[in-house]
Amino acid sequence: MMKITGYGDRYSVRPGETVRFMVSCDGLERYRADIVRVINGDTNPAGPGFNEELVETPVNGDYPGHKQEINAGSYVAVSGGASVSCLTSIHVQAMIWPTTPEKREQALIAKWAADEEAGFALTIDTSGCLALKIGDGAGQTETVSTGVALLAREWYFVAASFDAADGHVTLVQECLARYARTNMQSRVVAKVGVRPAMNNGAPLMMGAWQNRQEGDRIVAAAHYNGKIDMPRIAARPLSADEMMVARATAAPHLEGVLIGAWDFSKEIDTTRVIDTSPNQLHGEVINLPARAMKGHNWTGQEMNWTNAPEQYGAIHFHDDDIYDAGWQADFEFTVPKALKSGFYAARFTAGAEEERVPFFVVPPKDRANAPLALLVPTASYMAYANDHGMLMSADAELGMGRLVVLQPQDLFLGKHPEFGRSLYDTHADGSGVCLSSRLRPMLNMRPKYQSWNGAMGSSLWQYNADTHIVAWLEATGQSYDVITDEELHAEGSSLLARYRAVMTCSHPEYYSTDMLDSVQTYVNDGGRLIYMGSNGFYWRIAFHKSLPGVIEVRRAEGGCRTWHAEPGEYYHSFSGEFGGLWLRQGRPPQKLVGVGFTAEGFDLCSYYLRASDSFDPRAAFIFDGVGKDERIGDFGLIGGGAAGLEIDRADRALGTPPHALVLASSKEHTDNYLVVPEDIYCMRLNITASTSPLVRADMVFYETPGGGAVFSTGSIAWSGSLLHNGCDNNVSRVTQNVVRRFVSDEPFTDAG
Amino acid sequence: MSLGPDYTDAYEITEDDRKLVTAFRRQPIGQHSPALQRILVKMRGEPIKGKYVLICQEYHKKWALAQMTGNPENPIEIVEERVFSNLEDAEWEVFKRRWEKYTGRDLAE
Repeated sequence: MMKITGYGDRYSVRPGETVRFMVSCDGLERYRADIVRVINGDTNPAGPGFNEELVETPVNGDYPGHKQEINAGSYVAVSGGASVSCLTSIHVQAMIWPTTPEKREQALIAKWAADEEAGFALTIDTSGCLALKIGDGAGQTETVSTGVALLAREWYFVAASFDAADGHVTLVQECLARYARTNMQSRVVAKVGVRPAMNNGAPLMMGAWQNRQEGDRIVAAAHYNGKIDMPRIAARPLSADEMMVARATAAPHLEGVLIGAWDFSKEIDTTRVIDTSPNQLHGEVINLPARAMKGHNWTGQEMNWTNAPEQYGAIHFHDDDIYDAGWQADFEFTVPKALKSGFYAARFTAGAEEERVPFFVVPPKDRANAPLALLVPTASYMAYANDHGMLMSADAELGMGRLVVLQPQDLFLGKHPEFGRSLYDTHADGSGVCLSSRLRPMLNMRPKYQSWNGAMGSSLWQYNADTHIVAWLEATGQSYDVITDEELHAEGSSLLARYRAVMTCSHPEYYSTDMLDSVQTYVNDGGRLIYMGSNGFYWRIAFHKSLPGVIEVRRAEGGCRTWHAEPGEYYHSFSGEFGGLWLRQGRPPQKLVGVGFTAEGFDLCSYYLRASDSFDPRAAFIFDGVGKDERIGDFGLIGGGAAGLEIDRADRALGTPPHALVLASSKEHTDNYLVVPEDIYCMRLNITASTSPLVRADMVFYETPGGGAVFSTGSIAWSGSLLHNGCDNNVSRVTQNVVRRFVSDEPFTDAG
Repeated sequence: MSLGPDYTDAYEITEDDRKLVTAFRRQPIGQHSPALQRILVKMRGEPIKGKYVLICQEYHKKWALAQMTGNPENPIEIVEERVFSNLEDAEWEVFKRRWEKYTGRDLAE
């Protein structure tokens, strides 16, 4: 299993545009590729079954298989540094905050060609001590170590020099904190016989060294986990006073002495790192380490890096950071003009091996082909991409209320850290993963994939759960376009304005400011929004300004979360915006969709009962064909009910419009369902389903002043009940009633 | 990877708890009495090292018993060939093993 993996360079493509597919085959000489339209990704025999349609295209055919590797781990590369290549004596220094000093040899600042053992490298050695490694490229290397192990998560001043005149190496390792009975300072002087071969073809790097070069691509190794702040390089050993000057400010005045003095607090929202010295040895970050990280000089007085960038001069490198896998394309597919908008995938098969790489065909720019748009939450798919929660968390089983079930993809990820992690995971050094990219195989966002947290039954989450909605739209003959978060972020409300109604998927959780503003504008201007899920519009994210396909989240303050941002690191590096819940920024989801996240549980799902508001004549169209005492959704492929997994409640205090109708509420959740932490101030025993009135999904409808309306289901599991009994059921009926009315010309009236 | 605290010490299963076993057998997944829930919190909240998980070998048909290692380089190991055709049977098997681990008594006794 998992001998074929792949990804596309685009997630959504318009007719006439091209998507390239990168494929890696492990031990397979050939594979077959076909383009398919994905209708239902769920293999559950209790449902209608897996359903995809072959699309005849010129790219369908056999391809030679070849293995492609991912070189994960972030670093800075400074190329073209002739002034470094010609050095004979050398001095390097930096402030560092190592997170895994004991893990292995790690390069801090290096111009080291590992395949030739040439150059110099300031490292943490295999004993966790600061060391300087020198290689002459002719088979001789020497390493000098302080012999004093660095403490994890403490700031250190570190320096090393090599004096070509006498072969002396000097190492300085100085902890900024002071503890009694602990060796916090070390200064070592030693004489070595080897001279560093600086003109070794390797770039100057920080956070890793060059293992080898493949074409113009660096294959890096000796990745460092932790922060680096204020790296400097000089052409001769510095005195103690000069070292102090070099670390005192972001742009020290040591003219003629410093060859490079990098200020990582500059151009934080780009991939550049800036050298403030006259040499302008600017570099690039590779694989997106975390920036806007507080530096050694952070005072705690300022929380926003944009107000005090000089205190945010650190970059946090991780050995499992990954932005772009950088694989060669196997083939490219140009979307035919006539291809219907929808869920598609490139399907790869070889014997029993199969893999599908999803993509979305969106309508031509500035055009809508249907009255209804299905808004695919691709940002949220990216947030969950390659989730490791079930592999790394002791409380996953407790959260699920049942044994964790792993898929082959999960086992593969456990052995392949280079595929990167999700925004729910922590890095190998325990720090939170705040960046996620789609330019890598996202093994859990696939047709057929079952999720550990998708409840009993089909066990689906995000992408594959959303194929239930696609299957329902198809089965009930709806005319719809598919659009995604990336178009929403880039084009704004004008994209939505082309549609009479917009339907979300099951869990649109991650929203950039532009995305949220656009949906809000659409609703304000008379659009009709059908919110098919729960825990939507929850976390603020930021897209990178220039790099495609990557998002950032800073899990600040509160919310249901698996890690939390360090104090002082609550502001996104991509945008400078405050991170965390939209709720904490004055925009609770209730203001937009009438409901917001209230509880979650992952074992079984439940049903709704109609509330008195559902008998209001304004809501009559919704319940056409539904009896007054019917249990709504006491069936379904996800946990056996339409109300569950994550659920939302209406709350006037949080912004639910005063005229909103609470049409139905869910009942009888198991005690696996617990109230979200943002509603808990002091800890009490009444946070379970059987003790708290907050554990309920509310179904809500309201009209907007512009003649539009909002309908919200309040439950992620809603879509899992749509297909029951050939779509002849009350969840399907309510949804169909809403869609029919929402796509009609007839305005909603706000009179009364 | 943080192995986290060991919550299993917080409650000791007693002989008196044996009366709750039938209820678990009847419904291993879903709503439980507070007394049974307390036992399940202990069992399901075990630390990661040695914790039981299932590996899906065939969708909706076949699951193998495995254990987490606590080692990030190799997080999961199938410790023996034990395969289930439904998830409730797997829950019961793991419950029995954990009961014996914490009480020293075999549930078959």
